[in-house]
Amino acid sequence: MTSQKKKVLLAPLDPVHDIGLKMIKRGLDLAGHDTILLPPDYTPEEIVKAAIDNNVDVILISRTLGYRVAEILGSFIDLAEAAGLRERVKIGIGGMAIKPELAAELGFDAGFGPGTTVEEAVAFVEGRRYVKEDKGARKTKKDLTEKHDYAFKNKKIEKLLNAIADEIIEYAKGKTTPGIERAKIREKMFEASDEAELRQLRKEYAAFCDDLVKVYYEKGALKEKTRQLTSEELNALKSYLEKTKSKMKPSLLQHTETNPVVFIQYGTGCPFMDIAHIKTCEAWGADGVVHFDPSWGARTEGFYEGFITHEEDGSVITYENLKLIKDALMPSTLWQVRAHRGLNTPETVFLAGKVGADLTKINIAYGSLGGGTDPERLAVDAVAAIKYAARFKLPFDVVTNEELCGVPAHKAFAGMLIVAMLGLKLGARPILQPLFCYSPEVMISGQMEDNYVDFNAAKILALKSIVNAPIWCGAPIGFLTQTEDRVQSSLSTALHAALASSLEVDGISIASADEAYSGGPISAAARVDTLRATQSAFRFFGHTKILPTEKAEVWARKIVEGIEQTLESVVQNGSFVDSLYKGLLGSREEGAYPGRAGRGTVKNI
Amino acid sequence: MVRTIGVAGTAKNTGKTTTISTLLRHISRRSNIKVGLTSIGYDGEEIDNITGLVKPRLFLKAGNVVATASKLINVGSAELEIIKETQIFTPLGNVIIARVKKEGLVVVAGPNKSGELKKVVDVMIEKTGCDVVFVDGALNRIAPMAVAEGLIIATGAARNPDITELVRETRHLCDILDLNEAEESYRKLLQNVNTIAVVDKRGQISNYRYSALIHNDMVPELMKIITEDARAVYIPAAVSQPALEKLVDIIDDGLKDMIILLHDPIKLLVSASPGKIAGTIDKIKALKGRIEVLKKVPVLAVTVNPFYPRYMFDKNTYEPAYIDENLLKEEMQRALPLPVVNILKDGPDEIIKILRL
Repeated sequence: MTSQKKKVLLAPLDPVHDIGLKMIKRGLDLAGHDTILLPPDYTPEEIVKAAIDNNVDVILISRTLGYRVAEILGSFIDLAEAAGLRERVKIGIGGMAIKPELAAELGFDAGFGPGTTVEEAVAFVEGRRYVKEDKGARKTKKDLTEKHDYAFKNKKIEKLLNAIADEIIEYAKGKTTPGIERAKIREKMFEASDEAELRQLRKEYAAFCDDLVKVYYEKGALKEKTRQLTSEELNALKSYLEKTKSKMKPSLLQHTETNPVVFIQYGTGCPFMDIAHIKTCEAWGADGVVHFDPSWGARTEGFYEGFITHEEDGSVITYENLKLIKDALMPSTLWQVRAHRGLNTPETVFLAGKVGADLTKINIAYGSLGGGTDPERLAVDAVAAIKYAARFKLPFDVVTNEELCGVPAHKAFAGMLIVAMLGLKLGARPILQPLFCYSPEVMISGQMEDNYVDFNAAKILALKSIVNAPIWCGAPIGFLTQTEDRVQSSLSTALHAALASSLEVDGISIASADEAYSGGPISAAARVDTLRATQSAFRFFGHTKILPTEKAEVWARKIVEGIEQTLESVVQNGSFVDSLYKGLLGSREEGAYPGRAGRGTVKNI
Repeated sequence: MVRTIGVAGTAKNTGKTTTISTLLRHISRRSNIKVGLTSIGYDGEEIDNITGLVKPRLFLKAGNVVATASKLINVGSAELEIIKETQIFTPLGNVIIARVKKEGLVVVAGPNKSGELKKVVDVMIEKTGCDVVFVDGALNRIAPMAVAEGLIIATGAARNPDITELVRETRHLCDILDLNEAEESYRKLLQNVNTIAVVDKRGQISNYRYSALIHNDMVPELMKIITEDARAVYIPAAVSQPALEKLVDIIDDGLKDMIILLHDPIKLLVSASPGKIAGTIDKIKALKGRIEVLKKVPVLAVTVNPFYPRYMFDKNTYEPAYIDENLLKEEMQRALPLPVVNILKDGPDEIIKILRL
């Protein structure tokens, strides 16, 4: 014992509850203090008399708060004061509804609410300052790829992927696009030494843009419902951030070392609002955040400049907007800027790398079959983009969102693995992002009729049997299993998170509880719902495994076979890009339509 | 001029903070009086910690002084400049005495024990030059208010929505607070006595080991030192009404030559309803005994609030509700020899006049 021995009276001012006090009594006894635990249901007068008779140094009261109880506790404190105890006896209150503010209002010296440790109560008794272990403060930035060497266990698939990736690299050689040219000019802009050079570069940049963006560089005009943030708004953001950062005490979602890192997605249109959402999610434990840009941005050649807000979903990508967000992040927060589906893929990855993002997202197959971009254009752009990712050491995920269009998992996975292999060949670090969702494939074929576990597990088992690569389940997990009911929605997210954890994946993206059905902006409270639910699921399961039925293995084998067959058909076809047009990686019947944006824009140098 | 004014409530939501907030607003508009503000609870927050209903805010203009917990220094919109960091600890950090640099809202949780409250109020008056210090109460807590030079009692429907019962109770409360002060000789004799003491006809003191009389079991032992020569029983700390009643029952006729002395009337108010205490006082008087105090805590005014938070059992929430405000004020005024004010309706003028601010 480090401090003077104290005499402590523990009294449940309550008809029944004294479990917390018993735990604290044990802690105090172990620390060498004298303790007296009164039985429940003593009156305030009896408690005060016991304190006087025993000449105690500290009284610890426990009470469950309910109707009018605040007054009872206030009366107790008054009685203790009028009896002359307050000047020499410290009095603490504990209970499920107790917060420091309430303890102050009730007149106690300390309040112990949910999450109080025995150590905290002992420190109060001993008059020591208690420094709560701040798990969140220990958060460090995770590298999703660090545990993976990308060794292929399935040599057949490795060989097929090698052939296809080599063919893509060869295909892209000597080709360029407006997207690639803009990225190059953007890079020069960062190196420009004077305003005249910058003006000239802007002119050159605008020549590769659609009219919607061209008018910005010519006249400063922005797309309707889009405007620059005012200096007043930017100052308000600065002061908001100062206040918020000084108060941040982030939670930790993970309970075990095998729990995946948890990402949320933002893209309110307004960088200020995005930051508020990010800070909320960071505070409630999110490990990473994913930037969503507007869908029109993906189909428009060129980026604006400046601090831009947009009155619809999706936050406009500009260097300045990204910088605002980057500067708002906690050092431990992983930040992904998506570049996977549009006409600005190379420049997005360049900007993401330049501004200091941690991750990006590139997938030719999804972007061209479900994202609306021409397959040839995206293939050529993606090669350039992956080179930027390698240069900036930005791992990128390859998401299989075409599953949501109806493309079967094995075909979507074939496309994902092709882009992953392309990434490896170009020196980047790809992350596989299979969906944890109730996809059209399973709706039609019935793999999820009994449960949501087996088919999702099959996907992970299949991928793990092929290659030792990082896996980040997306996006968001449980997609199409959530409803407008926030409790159901949060529970479904949490269960999918638990499954992902049980399968030992590296990351997950989660939705807010109102994401699928919000009918407008997502509310911060609904984000907290799913973060808390996920945290509870991790706590509940710990290292426990969820046991899929034997069907998971069967379906995993089928997925692997399907991937092999798909890759073989692409190899036989001879051209990856042509295979996309032909539907080998997802056909029109399956809901995959080769995109048209940027068609005919690939040029031979 | 009364310099330390406590605003004590009979329950939550009886209008303590509304009273202070209205007085502060008035003073900041019309005079250059330097105001100090502190609270024995937690006040000025937007939403009530217990009921979840919206609360009145506390606005201070530049130059005024506030004593609040360190964690609340940056919570309000007012910009505060720390004058003194005290060693007085609260669940929200040490109490800080600060000058308002830029006017705005403050959130206040100050010292919550009378000894510490006195120290802080003294600094605010003597060191920082406050002309007047308002002490906001908390819930139904009254004990630390023994330090105040004058009290404003805030009561209303939140204490009891039945007007007749509320008026009767407030009358009893004011009567208890208005107990007579003991004669000078007793005040001198007992000023440094810290335990229960019996004074005999020769002025000799016999002590009892307790300072408070808060349990019936204490009475028989106390009776051993109350002889026929006893002229006064002094209880410096809390007195519970059942124990006092038992004492009175045992002494019975012997009370006609005896005074029961308390340190202050608040020591009597902490363990039972004013109605029960008034019943015991009546019994003492019927036996021709006297009950007096060494130090009075004068009640300056009573504010009445028709609002109460109605508990909705089905939703486990509270909703705002009101009783007849005119009837409440009329009945209260009829029963009390003090100014009665519905602060929201009548404004602060009458109280300002009494306080001579």
